[in-house]
Amino acid sequence: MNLGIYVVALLVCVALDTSLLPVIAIKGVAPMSTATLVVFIALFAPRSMALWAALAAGLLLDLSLPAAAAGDRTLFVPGPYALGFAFGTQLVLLLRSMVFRRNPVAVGLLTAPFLVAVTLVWMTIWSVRGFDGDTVVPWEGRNALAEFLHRLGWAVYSGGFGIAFGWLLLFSWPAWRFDLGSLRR
Amino acid sequence: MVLVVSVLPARWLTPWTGRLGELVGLPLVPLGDGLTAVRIWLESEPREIVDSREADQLWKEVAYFRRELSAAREKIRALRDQLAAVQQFDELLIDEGRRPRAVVARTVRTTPTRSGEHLVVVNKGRGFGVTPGAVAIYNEDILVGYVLDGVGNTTATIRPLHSVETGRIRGIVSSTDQTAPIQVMLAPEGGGWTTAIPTAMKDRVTVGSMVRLSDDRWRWAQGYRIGRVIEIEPLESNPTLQTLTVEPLANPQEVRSLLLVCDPAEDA
Repeated sequence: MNLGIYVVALLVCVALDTSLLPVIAIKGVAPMSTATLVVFIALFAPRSMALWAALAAGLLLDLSLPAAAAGDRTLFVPGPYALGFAFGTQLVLLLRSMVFRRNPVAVGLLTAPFLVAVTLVWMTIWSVRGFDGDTVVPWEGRNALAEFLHRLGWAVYSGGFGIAFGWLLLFSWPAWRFDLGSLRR
Repeated sequence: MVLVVSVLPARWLTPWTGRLGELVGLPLVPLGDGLTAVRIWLESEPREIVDSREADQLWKEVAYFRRELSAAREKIRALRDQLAAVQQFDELLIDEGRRPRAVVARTVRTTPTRSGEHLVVVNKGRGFGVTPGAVAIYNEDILVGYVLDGVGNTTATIRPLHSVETGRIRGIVSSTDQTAPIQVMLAPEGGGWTTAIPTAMKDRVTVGSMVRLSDDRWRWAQGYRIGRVIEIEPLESNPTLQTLTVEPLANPQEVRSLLLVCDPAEDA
Protein backbone atom coordinates (compact mmCIF):
# COMPACT_ATOMS: atom_id res chain seq x y z
CA MET A 1 0.00 0.00 0.00
CA ASN A 2 1.20 3.50 -0.79
CA LEU A 3 1.74 5.01 2.68
CA GLY A 4 2.27 8.54 1.37
CA ILE A 5 -1.18 8.60 -0.18
CA TYR A 6 -2.65 7.19 3.02
CA VAL A 7 -1.13 9.97 5.15
CA VAL A 8 -2.39 12.68 2.79
CA ALA A 9 -5.85 11.08 2.53
CA LEU A 10 -6.03 10.69 6.30
CA LEU A 11 -5.17 14.35 6.94
CA VAL A 12 -7.72 15.47 4.35
CA CYS A 13 -10.41 13.20 5.84
CA VAL A 14 -9.81 14.34 9.43
CA ALA A 15 -9.86 17.97 8.27
CA LEU A 16 -13.10 17.26 6.36
CA ASP A 17 -14.68 15.68 9.43
CA THR A 18 -13.74 18.44 11.80
CA SER A 19 -14.17 21.45 9.52
CA LEU A 20 -16.42 20.89 6.53
CA LEU A 21 -18.82 17.98 7.00
CA PRO A 22 -20.78 19.65 9.85
CA VAL A 23 -22.35 21.63 6.98
CA ILE A 24 -24.41 18.55 6.04
CA ALA A 25 -25.23 17.61 9.64
CA ILE A 26 -28.76 16.43 10.33
CA LYS A 27 -29.91 17.21 13.88
CA GLY A 28 -26.32 17.63 14.98
CA VAL A 29 -25.16 14.38 13.36
CA ALA A 30 -22.47 14.79 10.70
CA PRO A 31 -21.02 11.87 8.73
CA MET A 32 -17.43 10.72 9.19
CA SER A 33 -15.26 10.35 6.10
CA THR A 34 -12.29 9.00 8.10
CA ALA A 35 -14.31 5.89 8.93
CA THR A 36 -14.96 5.25 5.24
CA LEU A 37 -11.26 5.67 4.49
CA VAL A 38 -10.32 3.14 7.18
CA VAL A 39 -12.94 0.68 5.91
CA PHE A 40 -11.59 1.14 2.37
CA ILE A 41 -8.06 0.35 3.60
CA ALA A 42 -9.32 -2.65 5.59
CA LEU A 43 -10.97 -4.04 2.44
CA PHE A 44 -7.78 -4.07 0.38
CA ALA A 45 -4.68 -3.85 2.60
CA PRO A 46 -2.96 -6.77 4.30
CA ARG A 47 -4.28 -7.54 7.78
CA SER A 48 -1.47 -6.02 9.88
CA MET A 49 -1.21 -2.98 7.63
CA ALA A 50 -4.98 -2.38 7.92
CA LEU A 51 -4.83 -2.59 11.74
CA TRP A 52 -1.88 -0.19 12.01
CA ALA A 53 -3.55 2.22 9.60
CA ALA A 54 -6.75 2.12 11.69
CA LEU A 55 -4.81 2.70 14.92
CA ALA A 56 -3.01 5.68 13.37
CA ALA A 57 -6.27 7.16 12.08
CA GLY A 58 -7.91 6.73 15.48
CA LEU A 59 -4.94 8.32 17.29
CA LEU A 60 -5.02 11.29 14.91
CA LEU A 61 -8.73 11.79 15.67
CA ASP A 62 -8.16 11.42 19.41
CA LEU A 63 -5.41 14.03 19.32
CA SER A 64 -7.35 16.41 17.06
CA LEU A 65 -10.58 16.59 19.04
CA PRO A 66 -10.16 18.14 22.47
CA ALA A 67 -12.60 16.93 25.11
CA ALA A 68 -13.90 19.06 27.95
CA ALA A 69 -12.44 18.37 31.38
CA ALA A 70 -13.48 19.63 34.79
CA GLY A 71 -12.53 23.20 35.61
CA ASP A 72 -12.71 24.83 32.17
CA ARG A 73 -9.81 22.76 30.85
CA THR A 74 -9.39 20.78 27.65
CA LEU A 75 -8.11 17.27 27.49
CA PHE A 76 -6.82 15.03 24.71
CA VAL A 77 -7.32 11.33 25.40
CA PRO A 78 -5.29 9.05 23.11
CA GLY A 79 -7.19 5.81 22.87
CA PRO A 80 -10.99 5.82 22.54
CA TYR A 81 -11.03 6.25 18.76
CA ALA A 82 -7.67 4.49 18.24
CA LEU A 83 -8.81 1.29 19.93
CA GLY A 84 -12.32 1.64 18.51
CA PHE A 85 -10.94 1.87 14.97
CA ALA A 86 -8.70 -1.16 15.56
CA PHE A 87 -11.70 -3.13 16.85
CA GLY A 88 -13.89 -1.99 13.97
CA THR A 89 -11.19 -2.94 11.49
CA GLN A 90 -11.09 -6.45 12.95
CA LEU A 91 -14.80 -6.67 12.18
CA VAL A 92 -14.29 -5.48 8.59
CA LEU A 93 -11.41 -7.94 8.13
CA LEU A 94 -13.78 -10.74 9.12
CA LEU A 95 -16.46 -9.56 6.71
CA ARG A 96 -14.35 -8.51 3.74
CA SER A 97 -14.29 -11.90 2.09
CA MET A 98 -18.11 -11.89 1.95
CA VAL A 99 -18.55 -8.66 -0.04
CA PHE A 100 -17.74 -7.33 -3.50
CA ARG A 101 -14.84 -5.13 -2.50
CA ARG A 102 -14.75 -2.96 -5.61
CA ASN A 103 -18.36 -1.92 -5.06
CA PRO A 104 -18.94 1.48 -3.36
CA VAL A 105 -22.12 0.11 -1.77
CA ALA A 106 -20.01 -2.46 0.07
CA VAL A 107 -17.69 0.27 1.36
CA GLY A 108 -20.67 2.28 2.59
CA LEU A 109 -22.51 -0.68 4.08
CA LEU A 110 -19.44 -1.82 6.00
CA THR A 111 -18.89 1.71 7.35
CA ALA A 112 -22.06 1.45 9.45
CA PRO A 113 -21.15 -1.73 11.42
CA PHE A 114 -17.58 -0.46 11.63
CA LEU A 115 -18.79 2.68 13.39
CA VAL A 116 -21.10 0.69 15.67
CA ALA A 117 -18.03 -1.32 16.78
CA VAL A 118 -16.08 1.94 17.21
CA THR A 119 -18.93 3.33 19.32
CA LEU A 120 -18.92 0.30 21.63
CA VAL A 121 -15.22 0.68 22.40
CA TRP A 122 -15.40 4.50 22.54
CA MET A 123 -18.28 4.45 25.04
CA THR A 124 -16.67 1.71 27.12
CA ILE A 125 -13.43 3.67 27.50
CA TRP A 126 -15.23 6.91 28.31
CA SER A 127 -17.43 5.06 30.82
CA VAL A 128 -14.30 3.77 32.58
CA ARG A 129 -12.80 7.25 32.45
CA GLY A 130 -16.00 8.55 34.09
CA PHE A 131 -14.76 7.12 37.42
CA ASP A 132 -12.02 9.77 37.38
CA GLY A 133 -13.38 12.92 39.05
CA ASP A 134 -11.53 15.27 36.65
CA THR A 135 -13.00 13.67 33.52
CA VAL A 136 -16.26 14.89 32.02
CA VAL A 137 -17.83 12.15 29.92
CA PRO A 138 -18.96 13.49 26.53
CA TRP A 139 -22.59 12.52 27.11
CA GLU A 140 -22.89 14.05 30.60
CA GLY A 141 -26.35 15.56 30.99
CA ARG A 142 -27.89 12.80 28.87
CA ASN A 143 -27.95 9.08 29.60
CA ALA A 144 -25.61 6.62 27.93
CA LEU A 145 -28.45 4.97 26.01
CA ALA A 146 -29.43 8.28 24.39
CA GLU A 147 -25.79 8.80 23.42
CA PHE A 148 -25.63 5.28 21.99
CA LEU A 149 -28.79 5.82 19.91
CA HIS A 150 -27.40 9.17 18.75
CA ARG A 151 -24.23 7.39 17.63
CA LEU A 152 -26.23 4.66 15.90
CA GLY A 153 -27.82 7.41 13.81
CA TRP A 154 -24.33 8.75 13.16
CA ALA A 155 -23.19 5.28 12.01
CA VAL A 156 -26.14 4.92 9.64
CA TYR A 157 -25.69 8.43 8.21
CA SER A 158 -21.95 7.83 7.78
CA GLY A 159 -22.75 4.55 6.02
CA GLY A 160 -24.96 6.37 3.53
CA PHE A 161 -22.33 9.05 3.04
CA GLY A 162 -19.73 6.28 2.77
CA ILE A 163 -21.34 4.96 -0.43
CA ALA A 164 -20.65 8.27 -2.19
CA PHE A 165 -17.26 8.74 -0.57
CA GLY A 166 -16.32 5.10 -1.19
CA TRP A 167 -17.12 5.62 -4.87
CA LEU A 168 -14.58 8.46 -4.92
CA LEU A 169 -12.00 6.33 -3.11
CA LEU A 170 -12.50 3.45 -5.54
CA PHE A 171 -11.73 5.87 -8.37
CA SER A 172 -8.31 6.37 -6.82
CA TRP A 173 -7.78 2.64 -6.32
CA PRO A 174 -4.81 2.25 -8.75
CA ALA A 175 -2.87 5.00 -6.95
CA TRP A 176 -2.97 3.05 -3.67
CA ARG A 177 -0.97 0.16 -5.17
CA PHE A 178 -2.57 -2.50 -2.96
CA ASP A 179 -0.85 -5.88 -2.94
CA LEU A 180 -3.65 -8.12 -4.23
CA GLY A 181 -1.55 -11.23 -3.63
CA SER A 182 -1.75 -10.72 0.12
CA LEU A 183 -5.56 -10.74 -0.03
CA ARG A 184 -5.62 -14.28 -1.38
CA ARG A 185 -3.41 -15.61 1.38
CA MET B 1 -0.20 0.48 25.74
CA VAL B 2 -2.85 2.65 24.08
CA LEU B 3 -5.48 0.98 26.28
CA VAL B 4 -3.56 1.86 29.44
CA VAL B 5 -3.03 5.45 28.30
CA SER B 6 -6.69 5.83 27.41
CA VAL B 7 -7.84 5.16 30.98
CA LEU B 8 -5.20 7.21 32.79
CA PRO B 9 -6.61 9.96 35.06
CA ALA B 10 -7.04 13.38 33.45
CA ARG B 11 -4.39 15.01 35.69
CA TRP B 12 -1.76 12.59 34.31
CA LEU B 13 -2.80 13.13 30.70
CA THR B 14 -3.18 16.91 30.64
CA PRO B 15 0.54 17.85 30.99
CA TRP B 16 1.73 16.00 27.90
CA THR B 17 -1.23 15.25 25.63
CA GLY B 18 -1.91 18.96 25.03
CA ARG B 19 1.52 19.40 23.45
CA LEU B 20 1.10 16.14 21.52
CA GLY B 21 -2.28 17.29 20.24
CA GLU B 22 -0.65 20.54 19.14
CA LEU B 23 2.02 18.74 17.15
CA VAL B 24 -0.35 16.25 15.57
CA GLY B 25 -2.87 18.96 14.75
CA LEU B 26 -0.28 21.22 13.11
CA PRO B 27 -0.63 19.80 9.56
CA LEU B 28 -4.42 20.01 9.96
CA VAL B 29 -4.39 23.77 10.58
CA PRO B 30 -4.05 24.99 6.95
CA LEU B 31 -6.45 22.31 5.70
CA GLY B 32 -8.94 23.07 8.44
CA ASP B 33 -8.60 26.77 7.74
CA GLY B 34 -9.48 26.32 4.06
CA LEU B 35 -12.31 23.87 4.69
CA THR B 36 -13.81 26.06 7.40
CA ALA B 37 -13.83 28.92 4.87
CA VAL B 38 -15.74 26.67 2.48
CA ARG B 39 -18.17 25.63 5.24
CA ILE B 40 -18.88 29.23 6.25
CA TRP B 41 -19.40 30.13 2.59
CA LEU B 42 -21.80 27.21 2.12
CA GLU B 43 -23.73 28.10 5.25
CA SER B 44 -24.11 31.76 4.36
CA GLU B 45 -27.47 33.01 3.11
CA PRO B 46 -27.89 32.93 -0.70
CA ARG B 47 -27.96 36.31 -2.38
CA GLU B 48 -31.37 37.57 -3.36
CA ILE B 49 -32.04 38.51 -6.97
CA VAL B 50 -33.58 41.98 -7.21
CA ASP B 51 -35.70 43.48 -10.00
CA SER B 52 -34.84 46.75 -11.83
CA ARG B 53 -36.97 48.96 -9.55
CA GLU B 54 -35.28 47.59 -6.45
CA ALA B 55 -31.93 47.95 -8.20
CA ASP B 56 -32.63 51.66 -8.82
CA GLN B 57 -33.56 52.10 -5.21
CA LEU B 58 -30.39 50.30 -4.12
CA TRP B 59 -28.26 52.55 -6.34
CA LYS B 60 -29.88 55.62 -4.73
CA GLU B 61 -29.06 54.16 -1.35
CA VAL B 62 -25.49 53.53 -2.49
CA ALA B 63 -25.16 57.23 -3.39
CA TYR B 64 -26.66 58.26 -0.06
CA PHE B 65 -24.38 56.01 1.96
CA ARG B 66 -21.35 57.16 -0.03
CA ARG B 67 -22.11 60.71 1.08
CA GLU B 68 -22.53 59.46 4.63
CA LEU B 69 -19.22 57.62 4.35
CA SER B 70 -17.48 60.74 3.15
CA ALA B 71 -18.89 62.74 6.07
CA ALA B 72 -17.90 59.99 8.50
CA ARG B 73 -14.34 60.00 7.15
CA GLU B 74 -14.14 63.73 7.76
CA LYS B 75 -15.31 63.15 11.30
CA ILE B 76 -12.77 60.36 11.78
CA ARG B 77 -10.01 62.70 10.64
CA ALA B 78 -11.09 65.29 13.18
CA LEU B 79 -11.34 62.70 15.94
CA ARG B 80 -7.88 61.35 15.09
CA ASP B 81 -6.48 64.84 15.56
CA GLN B 82 -8.15 64.98 18.96
CA LEU B 83 -6.84 61.52 19.83
CA ALA B 84 -3.31 62.50 18.93
CA ALA B 85 -3.61 65.43 21.30
CA VAL B 86 -4.91 63.22 24.09
CA GLN B 87 -2.22 60.58 23.57
CA GLN B 88 0.43 63.11 24.52
CA PHE B 89 -0.68 62.43 28.09
CA ASP B 90 -0.33 58.66 27.83
CA GLU B 91 2.79 58.47 29.93
CA LEU B 92 0.81 59.86 32.84
CA LEU B 93 -1.38 56.79 32.95
CA ILE B 94 -0.46 54.58 35.88
CA ASP B 95 -1.54 51.36 34.23
CA GLU B 96 0.14 51.97 30.91
CA GLY B 97 1.09 48.69 29.32
CA ARG B 98 -1.60 46.82 31.21
CA ARG B 99 -3.93 46.94 28.28
CA PRO B 100 -5.50 43.81 26.89
CA ARG B 101 -3.84 42.16 23.93
CA ALA B 102 -6.02 41.60 20.86
CA VAL B 103 -5.31 38.69 18.53
CA VAL B 104 -7.20 37.88 15.35
CA ALA B 105 -7.69 34.11 15.03
CA ARG B 106 -9.34 31.86 12.50
CA THR B 107 -11.50 28.89 13.40
CA VAL B 108 -10.00 25.63 12.15
CA ARG B 109 -11.83 22.79 13.88
CA THR B 110 -14.95 22.13 15.90
CA THR B 111 -15.66 19.36 18.34
CA PRO B 112 -19.02 18.54 19.97
CA THR B 113 -19.45 19.06 23.72
CA ARG B 114 -21.68 17.18 26.14
CA SER B 115 -24.32 19.90 25.92
CA GLY B 116 -24.66 19.68 22.16
CA GLU B 117 -22.64 22.81 21.40
CA HIS B 118 -19.25 22.67 19.76
CA LEU B 119 -15.86 23.63 21.15
CA VAL B 120 -14.01 25.60 18.49
CA VAL B 121 -10.27 25.32 17.89
CA VAL B 122 -8.59 28.47 16.54
CA ASN B 123 -5.20 28.86 14.90
CA LYS B 124 -3.60 31.13 17.51
CA GLY B 125 -2.14 30.04 20.84
CA ARG B 126 0.41 30.97 23.51
CA GLY B 127 2.88 31.98 20.81
CA PHE B 128 0.60 34.90 19.95
CA GLY B 129 -0.12 35.80 23.56
CA VAL B 130 -3.46 33.99 23.86
CA THR B 131 -4.21 33.28 27.51
CA PRO B 132 -6.82 31.08 29.21
CA GLY B 133 -9.99 33.06 29.88
CA ALA B 134 -9.45 35.37 26.89
CA VAL B 135 -12.74 36.44 25.37
CA ALA B 136 -13.69 35.73 21.75
CA ILE B 137 -15.32 38.67 20.01
CA TYR B 138 -17.09 38.57 16.65
CA ASN B 139 -18.22 41.43 14.43
CA GLU B 140 -16.73 44.18 16.60
CA ASP B 141 -18.83 43.83 19.73
CA ILE B 142 -20.51 40.43 19.94
CA LEU B 143 -19.09 38.20 22.67
CA VAL B 144 -19.33 34.58 21.53
CA GLY B 145 -17.11 32.58 23.88
CA TYR B 146 -13.95 32.32 25.90
CA VAL B 147 -10.65 30.42 25.75
CA LEU B 148 -10.34 27.30 27.87
CA ASP B 149 -7.29 26.33 29.94
CA GLY B 150 -4.60 24.31 28.21
CA VAL B 151 -3.76 26.81 25.47
CA GLY B 152 -1.21 25.34 23.06
CA ASN B 153 1.58 27.17 21.29
CA THR B 154 -0.31 27.39 18.02
CA THR B 155 -3.93 26.63 18.89
CA ALA B 156 -6.50 27.46 21.54
CA THR B 157 -9.92 26.02 22.29
CA ILE B 158 -12.97 28.23 22.67
CA ARG B 159 -16.14 27.33 24.54
CA PRO B 160 -19.34 29.08 23.38
CA LEU B 161 -20.68 31.52 25.98
CA HIS B 162 -24.12 29.91 25.84
CA SER B 163 -22.73 26.47 26.66
CA VAL B 164 -24.26 24.69 29.65
CA GLU B 165 -20.75 24.30 31.08
CA THR B 166 -20.34 28.08 31.28
CA GLY B 167 -23.10 28.19 33.87
CA ARG B 168 -25.13 31.26 34.79
CA ILE B 169 -23.86 34.65 33.69
CA ARG B 170 -24.81 38.17 34.65
CA GLY B 171 -26.15 40.44 31.95
CA ILE B 172 -28.15 43.59 31.38
CA VAL B 173 -31.15 43.97 29.11
CA SER B 174 -31.49 47.31 27.34
CA SER B 175 -34.75 48.87 28.38
CA THR B 176 -37.05 50.61 25.94
CA ASP B 177 -36.45 54.01 27.59
CA GLN B 178 -32.68 53.59 27.08
CA THR B 179 -31.96 54.92 30.55
CA ALA B 180 -32.14 52.18 33.14
CA PRO B 181 -31.02 48.78 31.87
CA ILE B 182 -32.38 45.77 33.72
CA GLN B 183 -29.88 43.51 35.43
CA VAL B 184 -30.57 39.80 34.88
CA MET B 185 -29.04 36.42 35.65
CA LEU B 186 -28.96 34.33 32.46
CA ALA B 187 -29.29 30.56 32.76
CA PRO B 188 -28.13 28.52 29.74
CA GLU B 189 -30.94 26.54 28.15
CA GLY B 190 -31.58 25.06 24.72
CA GLY B 191 -28.74 26.81 22.87
CA GLY B 192 -29.54 30.17 24.46
CA TRP B 193 -30.51 31.52 27.85
CA THR B 194 -33.59 32.13 29.94
CA THR B 195 -34.06 34.64 32.71
CA ALA B 196 -36.88 36.12 34.74
CA ILE B 197 -37.84 39.73 35.46
CA PRO B 198 -40.62 41.15 37.63
CA THR B 199 -43.88 41.66 35.73
CA ALA B 200 -43.75 45.33 36.72
CA MET B 201 -40.71 45.72 34.44
CA LYS B 202 -42.34 43.95 31.51
CA ASP B 203 -43.06 47.18 29.64
CA ARG B 204 -39.39 48.13 29.69
CA VAL B 205 -38.41 45.09 27.60
CA THR B 206 -39.56 44.19 24.12
CA VAL B 207 -38.86 41.29 21.79
CA GLY B 208 -35.58 42.23 20.14
CA SER B 209 -34.15 44.03 23.19
CA MET B 210 -30.38 43.66 23.29
CA VAL B 211 -28.68 41.75 26.10
CA ARG B 212 -25.14 42.73 27.12
CA LEU B 213 -22.57 41.16 29.42
CA SER B 214 -22.17 42.45 32.94
CA ASP B 215 -20.14 39.68 34.55
CA ASP B 216 -16.85 40.11 36.43
CA ARG B 217 -15.47 36.83 35.11
CA TRP B 218 -14.66 38.43 31.76
CA ARG B 219 -13.25 41.85 32.64
CA TRP B 220 -12.38 42.84 29.07
CA ALA B 221 -15.84 42.11 27.69
CA GLN B 222 -18.12 44.14 29.97
CA GLY B 223 -20.95 45.68 27.97
CA TYR B 224 -20.38 43.57 24.89
CA ARG B 225 -23.51 42.30 23.15
CA ILE B 226 -24.28 38.62 23.74
CA GLY B 227 -27.87 38.05 22.70
CA ARG B 228 -31.33 39.44 22.11
CA VAL B 229 -34.72 38.76 23.64
CA ILE B 230 -36.84 36.56 21.39
CA GLU B 231 -39.74 35.70 23.69
CA ILE B 232 -41.44 37.19 26.75
CA GLU B 233 -44.07 35.19 28.56
CA PRO B 234 -45.45 34.94 32.11
CA LEU B 235 -43.90 32.34 34.42
CA GLU B 236 -46.61 29.74 35.02
CA SER B 237 -45.53 28.96 38.56
CA ASN B 238 -45.27 32.62 39.57
CA PRO B 239 -47.39 35.23 37.74
CA THR B 240 -45.39 38.09 39.27
CA LEU B 241 -42.47 37.11 37.05
CA GLN B 242 -41.95 37.14 33.29
CA THR B 243 -39.63 34.67 31.58
CA LEU B 244 -37.36 36.10 28.89
CA THR B 245 -35.86 33.77 26.30
CA VAL B 246 -32.59 35.09 24.95
CA GLU B 247 -30.99 33.95 21.71
CA PRO B 248 -27.20 34.26 21.20
CA LEU B 249 -26.28 36.77 18.48
CA ALA B 250 -23.60 34.47 17.04
CA ASN B 251 -22.21 31.01 17.49
CA PRO B 252 -18.39 30.63 17.33
CA GLN B 253 -18.84 27.46 15.28
CA GLU B 254 -20.49 29.46 12.53
CA VAL B 255 -17.98 32.26 12.18
CA ARG B 256 -14.80 32.45 10.17
CA SER B 257 -12.56 34.55 12.35
CA LEU B 258 -12.63 35.89 15.88
CA LEU B 259 -10.90 38.63 17.83
CA LEU B 260 -9.40 37.21 21.02
CA VAL B 261 -8.99 39.79 23.77
CA CYS B 262 -6.40 38.46 26.22
CA ASP B 263 -4.97 39.52 29.54
CA PRO B 264 -1.82 41.66 29.12
CA ALA B 265 1.57 40.01 29.55
CA GLU B 266 2.67 39.80 33.20
CA ASP B 267 5.96 41.58 32.54
CA ALA B 268 4.26 44.55 30.88
